[in-house]
Amino acid sequence: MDDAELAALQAALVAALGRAGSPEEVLALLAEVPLAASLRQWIAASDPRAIETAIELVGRWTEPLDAIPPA
Amino acid sequence: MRRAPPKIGLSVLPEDDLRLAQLPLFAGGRVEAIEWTLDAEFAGAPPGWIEGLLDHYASAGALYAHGVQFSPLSARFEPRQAEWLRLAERALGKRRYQHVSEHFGFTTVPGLARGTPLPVPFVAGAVAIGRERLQSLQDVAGNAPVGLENLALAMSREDVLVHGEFLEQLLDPINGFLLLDLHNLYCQAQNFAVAPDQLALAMPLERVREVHLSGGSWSTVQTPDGPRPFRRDTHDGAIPEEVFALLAFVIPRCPRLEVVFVERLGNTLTTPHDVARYRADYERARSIVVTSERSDG
Repeated sequence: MDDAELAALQAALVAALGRAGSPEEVLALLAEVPLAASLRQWIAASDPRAIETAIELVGRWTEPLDAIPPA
Repeated sequence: MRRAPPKIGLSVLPEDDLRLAQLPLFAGGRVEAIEWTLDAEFAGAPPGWIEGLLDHYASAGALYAHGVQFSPLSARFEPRQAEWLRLAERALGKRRYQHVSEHFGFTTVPGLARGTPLPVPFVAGAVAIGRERLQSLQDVAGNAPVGLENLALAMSREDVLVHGEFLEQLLDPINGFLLLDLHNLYCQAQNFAVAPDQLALAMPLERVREVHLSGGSWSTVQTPDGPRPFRRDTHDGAIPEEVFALLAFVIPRCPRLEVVFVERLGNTLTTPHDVARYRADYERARSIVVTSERSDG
C-alpha cells in the first residue's frame, strides 16, 4: 500500500531539507508543492527549531542509493 | 505480588572507544543483556568479539535486536525496504532474539539508501501504512515481538501531544511493544514545554518492554523570537538528571518492562572523564533498575 499524498509530502520535505539553508527556505519550497490541506497544516505548525534541526540531520545522515554498494 | 526488576544492559557497537569503556562492565558481570543493531551486520559479519557477545547473550535469553533503516512510515514501499526485510530475516535467523524494535518515523524516500528518522503527521493514511509495515516486520521476526521506539524530533507541540496515541494505533494490530526512549521523551518535553512525567503518562506504558537511556546535547537556533535552545538526541553526552528521574518514574508504571539499555554513539568518548562518567551513568541506571519495585497488578 502506498499513500500518494503522504509520499508527496515526504519526498518534498526531504528534498527541501536537503536544499534549503534555513527554515524559511524550507517553508518556501514546500509552499510550491501541491499538498492536502491536513498535510499543509502540519507543515505550517512546524517550529523553526525543529526544521533547522531536521536540515542538519538530513545533511548528515542522508545518502543516495548509488552512494552505497549493495550488501 | 512483587515482580523481579527488569534486566539492565548495554547497546553494543563496533567502535573501539565504546568497547574499551564497556569492557570492565562486562568483565565485572554488570551487564545482564545486550542490544544489537541488525543493520550493522547487513554488509558483512561483525567483528569476532561482537559475535562472541551475541552468541553468549543469545544463549542466556538476553539478546535484543534493534533496527535503524527499515523506515516503517515511508509512504512509498521501496525495493530497498524489501531488501532490508530479507537481510533482517537472515540476521534474526542466526541467533535467538527476545524481540525486535525499529524507530517511529520515515528515514528514506525513493532514491535514498539511508537517512534519519523524521516525524510524520498523525493522519489515517500514515497509520494504515505503519500498520502494514509493522506486519511485514512481524512476518520476518517470527515469534519474536515487534516494537517501535518513540521519536526525539517533533515538528510541533501538537506532534508531541499526540505521539503516544499515534504509537498506540500503530502497535495495536500486532500487539506490538513500545520501546520507550527516555532521552527522546525528555527532548520533546524540553523543546515543547511539556512536563516530562505527564508526557510519559501519555505514552502507552502498558506496552513498554524496553527502555533506552542516553545523553544528548543542546543546540541554539535563531528564530524570529531570538535565539532559543533545542535539545538533541545526539547520544554523545552524559545522561541528564531528569532522565534518571524519568527512569525511576516509569519502571513501576510499565508492567511488561523487560529490559533497560544504556546507549552511546561510538567515537564520542574522547577523554578519561567521558569514560568515567559513562561507566558511572551505567552504574547509576543499574542501581535504579535493580532496586525498583513493581507489582503484578
